[in-house]
Amino acid sequence: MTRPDLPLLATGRAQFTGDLPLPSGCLHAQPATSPHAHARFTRVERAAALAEPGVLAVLTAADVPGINDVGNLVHDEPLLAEAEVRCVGEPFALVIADSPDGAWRAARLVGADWELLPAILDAREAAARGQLIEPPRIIACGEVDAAWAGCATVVEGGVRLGSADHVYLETQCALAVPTDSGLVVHSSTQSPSATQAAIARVTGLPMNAVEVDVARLGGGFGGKEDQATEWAGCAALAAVHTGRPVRLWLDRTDDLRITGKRHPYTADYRLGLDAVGHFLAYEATLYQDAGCLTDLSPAILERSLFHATNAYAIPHVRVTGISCRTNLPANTAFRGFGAPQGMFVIEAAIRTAARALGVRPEELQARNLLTDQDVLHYGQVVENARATRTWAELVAHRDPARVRTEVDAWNATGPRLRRGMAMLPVCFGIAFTATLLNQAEALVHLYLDGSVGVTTGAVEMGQGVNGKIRTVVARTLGIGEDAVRIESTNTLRVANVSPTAASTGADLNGLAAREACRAILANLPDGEVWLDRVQTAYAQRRSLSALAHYATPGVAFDHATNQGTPFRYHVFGAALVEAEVDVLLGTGRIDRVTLVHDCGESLDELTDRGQIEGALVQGIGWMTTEEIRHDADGRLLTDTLATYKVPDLPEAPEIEVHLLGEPNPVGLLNSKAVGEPPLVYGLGAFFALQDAIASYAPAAADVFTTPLTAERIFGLLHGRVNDDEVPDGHA
Amino acid sequence: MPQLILNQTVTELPAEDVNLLGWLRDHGLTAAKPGCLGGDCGACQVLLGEIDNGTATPRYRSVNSCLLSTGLVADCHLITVEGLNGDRLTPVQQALVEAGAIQCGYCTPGLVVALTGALLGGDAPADALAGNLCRCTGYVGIRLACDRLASDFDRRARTLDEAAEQGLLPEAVARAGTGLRPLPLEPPLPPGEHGPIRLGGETDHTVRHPHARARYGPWLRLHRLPALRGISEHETGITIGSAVTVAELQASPLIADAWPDLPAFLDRFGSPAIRHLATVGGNLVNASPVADLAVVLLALRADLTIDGPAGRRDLPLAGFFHGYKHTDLGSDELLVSVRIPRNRARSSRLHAEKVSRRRHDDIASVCSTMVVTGGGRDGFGEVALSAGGVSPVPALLRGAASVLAGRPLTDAVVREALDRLVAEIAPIGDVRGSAGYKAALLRHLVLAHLAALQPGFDFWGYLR
Repeated sequence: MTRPDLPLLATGRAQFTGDLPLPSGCLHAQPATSPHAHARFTRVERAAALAEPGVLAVLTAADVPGINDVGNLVHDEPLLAEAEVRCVGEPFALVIADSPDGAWRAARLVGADWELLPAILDAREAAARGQLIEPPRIIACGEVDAAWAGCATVVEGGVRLGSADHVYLETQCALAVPTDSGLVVHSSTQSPSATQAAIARVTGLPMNAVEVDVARLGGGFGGKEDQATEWAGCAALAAVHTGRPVRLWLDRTDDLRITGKRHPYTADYRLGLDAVGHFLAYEATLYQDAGCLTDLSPAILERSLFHATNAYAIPHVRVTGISCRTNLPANTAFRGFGAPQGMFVIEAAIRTAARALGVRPEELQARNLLTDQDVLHYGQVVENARATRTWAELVAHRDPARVRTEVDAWNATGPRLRRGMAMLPVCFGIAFTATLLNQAEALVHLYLDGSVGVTTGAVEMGQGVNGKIRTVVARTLGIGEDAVRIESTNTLRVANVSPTAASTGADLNGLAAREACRAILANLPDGEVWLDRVQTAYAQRRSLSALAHYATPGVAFDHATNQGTPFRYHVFGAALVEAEVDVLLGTGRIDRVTLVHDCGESLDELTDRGQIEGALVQGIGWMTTEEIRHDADGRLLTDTLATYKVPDLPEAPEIEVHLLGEPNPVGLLNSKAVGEPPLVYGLGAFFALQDAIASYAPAAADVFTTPLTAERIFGLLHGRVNDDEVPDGHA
Repeated sequence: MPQLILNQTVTELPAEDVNLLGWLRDHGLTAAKPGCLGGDCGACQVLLGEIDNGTATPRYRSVNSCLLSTGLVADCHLITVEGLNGDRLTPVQQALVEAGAIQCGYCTPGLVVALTGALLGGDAPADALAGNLCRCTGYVGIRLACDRLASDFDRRARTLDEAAEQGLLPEAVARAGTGLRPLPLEPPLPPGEHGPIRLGGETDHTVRHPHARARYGPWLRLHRLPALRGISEHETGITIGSAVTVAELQASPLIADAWPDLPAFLDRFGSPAIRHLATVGGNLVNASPVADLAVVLLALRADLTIDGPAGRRDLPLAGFFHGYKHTDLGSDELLVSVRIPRNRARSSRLHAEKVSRRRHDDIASVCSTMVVTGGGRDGFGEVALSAGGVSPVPALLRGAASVLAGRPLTDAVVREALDRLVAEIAPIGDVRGSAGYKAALLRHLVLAHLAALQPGFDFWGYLR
């Protein structure tokens, strides 16, 4: 067992942010949020809220002592809205009360003199009106326009991909405690330094007076990369205003209503193939619904474009990304960071092409997999390609040709339960696409009893990063893992940390920790007994502590040409998803997933398998039961876990994971990053269900709209499609 | 002051009711987590032990503490994960750790409680977890842990002492459980309209008022009235007390004997922790248009017994629902029991369907039950058909049923019955489906009934 925190979690003794004992005199803050998708206001009405028992203050933008902005990429995100709200749920005031319930109730009583403005709730409409987050991005290679003429087959189509909520089980939470000269903020954030910077900006304090501490997260999945900042900022503002500790903890419904989600996309695609089924040319335009603020949308869109060709070699490519500004809460990072959306589009195109050619999609997929020295459309040369290798191993474990024969034979008898299958390969680039983020620092202290304390920038959120770093430190120092303790992530101990995101947490921070260990080792005399070496070094007045920096080598990208080497390496894999549809009831289920995943030499197999399985099921949920719905006024209808359904135990399929154990020479101790890539296998749930549906209703093969809820499956089977029907809101 | 046994210690409860999860956490017991405040995620689960009126043995069940108030657990034994913890990990905790069932760990205390509850109650471990969401693991490790527990512990109910011997909880907690006494009786319902709120399992009350502390008490805890408890058989049928829980209904040999398909279908009702509290009467008086049990009971032609100042009266369930969330129950009356046929000759058969976005622990888009009696190879004698989600109240669809009753199941009869459905329903579009979908889906559910109840029935010709 490499994760030391498991017993702590199993006994419930592990403290999440909301479990920290409240300091004496602690107050509670809750946001008052916009009831309208787009409106102007000049006056906030606080009287009713202030009249509630226990309410101390109602703060607005005017009460922000520093700069009213918590934006990260672009400074367009006020902590509290000023004069204009741009989505339902945008915070425009902050209520401070002596109890959580009191703050919650009073927050509902804050009003404003709303003047309603027209709202745009559809991304294509936003694009048509020029409401873009940034100018369209194009990444291209080859000669796409000239290539079509040489294609034997060209297919076209469109895709509509739904959103999804992170549903980290621990909702957004922060506790801000004033000290005599600054603030200590405990935050459930994946970005301690960005949170620290935003708090400093809002409060007017210098960053060195703001300490952000993160012990662990009850799930993040990207939802706490950029969007934990707002809540830490609000708690900090309230703490500075009152001089007392303040906790802000969103309840589930507010978390669902207010915070951003996975970006919905629509896309148009065109794929050209030669006479034997090689992909020659691919063109796609992706419309991203960014919501009302920039957040991380441009970076997410960029990754959609990078991964628009998934694991396939295509000589002529042009992909265009359009980030559209709508009056919905700003969408944000979510495991995969746009890559799954980009990949879905080409997988849809492959299905369309297969149908046109009268072949099975898996035949086209297998024929076009990336191999070494292929050049991707963004200019990176593929090295150590394992697309064909993982595919072949998958075939050995569960042969798609055999499954296909069985499925066809079963369906040919015209049964009520139809079966379907889909193959889904993945090629996922590892590194922050913002090159500057590819750096990390680690602080290692060796104590005189031989024990070791480590702080890095990595945030533990269940992915086991602390266990992996502990393994790296123990192996590097040549000591037992029990002697190594990984401390909370803390901006006083390690500064300017990159978010724990992009699957890079273990790579970056583990390699920095290894550097620090090496620096300490250089100070230790040779010897057999660890304790003697430590104490001798101390007696010789040599440093037993080290702060080391690591920067990922070899990554660079030119935004002028949109060419470069944005990734340190790629992760490969392949999955076979099997599904069943009940034609009469119009319901579907994912029965079985078999996959081969390339983890390099895993540092912690139990944890890595869990990451793969969890990502897969999260992807399946996105494709099936999880549906985000708004009413015609931009209000979220699916605002509880009673109406927003994530997979539960009975829903999860039988999953068989095989690890391709080949070493990754550029990874952490030969391992590979694991967090995000396996989510892509979940896309197979859509295509496997679609395959089953199409055996009864062939026209379903042309419809690429997610998620495949029971209602959509029914509609595809029986000709009732209600995609555009907006419910009247009576739940 | 009301009190309870909290883990090992007799503890005073606040004089005024507050939310149980909030109270536990305010007392430093933070293992139970708020995840949804709606009973949908299971992160806040605790074990609730009580000795039912008229029985001598304590029973321990996993429940969602976010849906309970302190007053409802007075005189009970409440065990949280802190109470289960000992010097070493319990076998449940050990299994979760070793099987890779823990990632972020926020849901883990709830899993520990649900699994410990399953081992105490003699339930299959994996079946106990339908109401425990985990967003990290994909459930593979959790299933492995369940498999291991299922093989290490034989499937039978355990007393706390036996559980302590097997290391499932500390001896001190088992000892504290011996202090449990039968639940005190509630005072009878006072006369007048403005009596206390009457609560069955409280599974719906809190959900609708998540932060309003004022919602709590005073109330009448119906499951503490012996007259409302128990399932009994008599000449004219099976009588189910209105405070019988769905879990008890599911486990009843009388029910299984009379209606063999019913217990398995009840798995689709909420989650195990919800079924531990939710009552038969609560599902009826709540009058939700998609009340799972109401729909089943309608097709079973259930009769109600209602008590009030004017005396007892009987009423067919079919006459109980007047409009959206509006029933025949007077504000000074109490639903005492529900009576269903005992089906001794097995002349009736039941088939129930429910379609929801997720198969378990979800609210139906449409649910429907058909009960047929008599008849032969080409049709049924009597037919009762009900549906939820297609009208403001759970509905008995008499028109379609009358078309099908006593006639051979010819193409013309089936088509006429399906056509009759349209006039009997008034679905609305909401987050669980558009109106058009619900109407079409009901038609398919009726075809599914016919396919299940009439061997050889060919539904293909009726799919548009």
